Amino acid sequence: MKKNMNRNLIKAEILVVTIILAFCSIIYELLLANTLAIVTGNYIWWQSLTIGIYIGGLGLGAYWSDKLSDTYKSIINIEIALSFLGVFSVTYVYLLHGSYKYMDNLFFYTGNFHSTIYLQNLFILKFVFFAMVQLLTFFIGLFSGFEIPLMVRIAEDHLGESEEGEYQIFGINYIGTLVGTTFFAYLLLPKLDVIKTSVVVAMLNLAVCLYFIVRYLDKNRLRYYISSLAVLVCGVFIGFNEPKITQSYLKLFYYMPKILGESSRNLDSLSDRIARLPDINRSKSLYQYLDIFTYPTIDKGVIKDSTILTLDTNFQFNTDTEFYYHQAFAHVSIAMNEKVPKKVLLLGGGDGLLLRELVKYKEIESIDFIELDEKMLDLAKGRFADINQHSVSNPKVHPQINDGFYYLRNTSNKYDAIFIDFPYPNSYDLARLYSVEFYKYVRKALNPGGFAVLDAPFFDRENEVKDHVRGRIMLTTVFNERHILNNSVLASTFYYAGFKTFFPYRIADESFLFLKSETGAIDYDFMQKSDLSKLSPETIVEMNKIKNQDFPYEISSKYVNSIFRPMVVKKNEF
Amino acid sequence: MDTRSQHLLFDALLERELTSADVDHIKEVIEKNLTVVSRIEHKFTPQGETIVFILAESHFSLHTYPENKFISLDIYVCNMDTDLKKIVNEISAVVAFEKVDQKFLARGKLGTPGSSADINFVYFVTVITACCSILYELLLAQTLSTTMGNTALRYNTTIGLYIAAMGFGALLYKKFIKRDVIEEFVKIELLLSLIGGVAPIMALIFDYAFNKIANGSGVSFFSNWIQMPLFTLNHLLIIAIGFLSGLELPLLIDMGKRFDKKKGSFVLAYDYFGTLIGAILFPIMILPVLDIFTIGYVVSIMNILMAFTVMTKLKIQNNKYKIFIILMLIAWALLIYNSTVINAGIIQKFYFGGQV
Repeated sequence: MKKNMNRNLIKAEILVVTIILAFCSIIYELLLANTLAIVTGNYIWWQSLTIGIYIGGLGLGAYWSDKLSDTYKSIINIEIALSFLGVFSVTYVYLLHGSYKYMDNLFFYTGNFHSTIYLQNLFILKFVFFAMVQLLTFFIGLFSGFEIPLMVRIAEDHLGESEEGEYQIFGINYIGTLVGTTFFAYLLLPKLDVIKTSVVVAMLNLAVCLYFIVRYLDKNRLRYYISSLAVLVCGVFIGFNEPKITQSYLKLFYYMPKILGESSRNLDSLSDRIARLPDINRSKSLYQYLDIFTYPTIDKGVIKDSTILTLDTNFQFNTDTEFYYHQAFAHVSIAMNEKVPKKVLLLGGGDGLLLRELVKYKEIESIDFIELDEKMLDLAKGRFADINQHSVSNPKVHPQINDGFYYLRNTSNKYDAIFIDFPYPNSYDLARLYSVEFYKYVRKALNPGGFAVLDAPFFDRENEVKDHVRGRIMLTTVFNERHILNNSVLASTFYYAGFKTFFPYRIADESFLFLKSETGAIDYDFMQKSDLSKLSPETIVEMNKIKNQDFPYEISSKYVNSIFRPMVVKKNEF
Repeated sequence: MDTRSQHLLFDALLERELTSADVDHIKEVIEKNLTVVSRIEHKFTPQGETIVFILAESHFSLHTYPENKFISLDIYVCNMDTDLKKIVNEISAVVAFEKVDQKFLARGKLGTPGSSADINFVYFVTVITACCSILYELLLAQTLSTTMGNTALRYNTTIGLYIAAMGFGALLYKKFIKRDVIEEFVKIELLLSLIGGVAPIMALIFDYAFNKIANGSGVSFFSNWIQMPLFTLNHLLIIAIGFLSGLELPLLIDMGKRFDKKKGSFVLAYDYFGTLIGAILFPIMILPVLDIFTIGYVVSIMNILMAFTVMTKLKIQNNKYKIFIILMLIAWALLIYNSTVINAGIIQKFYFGGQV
């Protein structure tokens, strides 16, 4: 009886350890995948590649595990190595990506904010970055792959051999993985962010390692204690310097033009220059990173600070130039419609800037405002309240936190105009917001004579030439097949969703698409007929160029983007 | 006769002096675990000895070098069932080793053609079936994100639930699988290909049905009365696929062990490899080419063909399974052939509920 009790205790002990190890291991993988997806901006590619290389490493680890002869020493060595790699994982990615961007820009510095931050020029550098990061993923996978077979061996040593025991270890390992994914998405990432998570989890891993040393090693403990202590010191160091590490990386990333621009006049070291720059205000919501920082812009010889917002490092707006965009979005589309809508739906656009333009119309009676991210709404009511002139608090506006697609699919409300301000469809996740299904629901929610307008990457020939002038050296600046394909995907999708009127226009750098169910050509004289008092002179200059814009596309069912058959459209291949 | 055999080459450095009691203990362990037919022992001067046993299972030899605290032993057994690791453990329970250098060799493959192909066959089946399982789940995640919204959350919960359900499958394996492993494997594959193949459509139908119920009864679609059962049904699909995939892995390991006791555990490695292939192919090569429903049918066909190959290669006679396979293949072929019309109909009926 006593022996049985003991056996159950040992079994429980082994299963608990296995669960913790699986938990730590999957979190290292998620940390790498998430950090990479954010720093590179290509979510699907990096997520699936990282999970792939990690699982490949797991497989190889499981395969090679019989090469480890001494079970206990091996597992201790592996856990020390894993906690060491874990402690440095995110810092390593930041360091590599920072140096990669720095070197890349040293060779191809243009001084332009967008091209400096988002363009990748030297393929070989990109490849080296990729290889060095995925090497870490592979080793984390490999070492984690050793864990299960070693735990099976430990169980066999203490409980005798049994297949059931082996399967229980597999089973419990999977459950540890589930707990890891859930904790990561809902607790660790929102509360601690990546670096602190990496340190906390590595310390948990180290605790398991210490348990192994105490429980299973009789002698030669000292060298393992020393190694563990070294990892602990690294963890404490990184944990306490977390704000500095994150800020240094973010500053290097966002202020690259400034850092490089100063270099000729300034003899300070890179770290001094980074330290002098103002901090980047980063917050994390359930869906994305929101980075806010000030950036100097030169306007007619005067240097002034403008505020920039990025979501997951993707540029959203610059307080200096956003008026173009939001005026073009709101006023040009309403002018085009030649009738001011009464009931309006705004999907996305959580910053409240488009709302600021919309509430200027007395004719608009109510605006239903659907935003996914509560943090964005908080920003609109807080930090951006002055820029958006407290538009979110306007009594006409009814904000609601919801998934736009889900809302449209299940609402029976009808609108005279729907403004759609979503991120660009450069991932499968976002492509559904540009799908034929979504736009069928948009059409359903429109009153007769109502219109929808959205901003999307739609290319005209002139726009591409402008890109070239802006100094995007390595970018394909010739209007090419890919641009026609991208245009065709969007145009065909709207056509098959039942929008008979489709009118693309570009103001400054942004293209917009105006949609109506009814047929009817757009009267180019709308500009003369409409009230232009809400537009700034710069926007009017841009607007007068609309009739000369040429957007080539082809309409065919093979281009239709459906949620059941997604097609991804990219603005530029960064 | 099956000539496949195992050969253990074992060198060890002792912690302390080698005593005659140690040598006796080693001999006892061999006698206990194997059948000794004949023995030759020779003592050298001033020290060291060589012992050779002829075994019914082949042979055993031991060389001792007391002056170096070193022993070297070989065990050769002409079967794949004897657990040489256990013998080593029994020896080292009494004789304290400081350092060990051991190699397990699989020998005799040449004498029994086809024996090494069998374990490779199990690896192959493992890669394909693991690939199919992860693909079913990714498809379901994509479909659920269309009906329930919030793609990132959908992928997270689907993968998490899938892995956990796999865990429960592996945990409860012994309770569920009582009969022959190969036959059970075929059954589980067929079930998986049926559920996995129609899962995307099922998710749409659930959504449609609950929309209808909500409209008919006047209860809001967003109320918990509608959302809770709908949520449960959708997630039951994920759990069912995960659970069956969880039973699949131990079955494959058992199948692998039947061919090669040592290498059976490598099935785990190949399972990971199959998952890797599925996870990478889905976003990069599969989703851009086919629609979700067709991907479901194609993956299901791949899965059915695997079950069929296992049946023929391992000579399982079961007419019920064969009829099932033929019917499923015909159904999927018809659905793929008319996919444009049928998919449009499914989307119109179940996704839009005929409203748009």
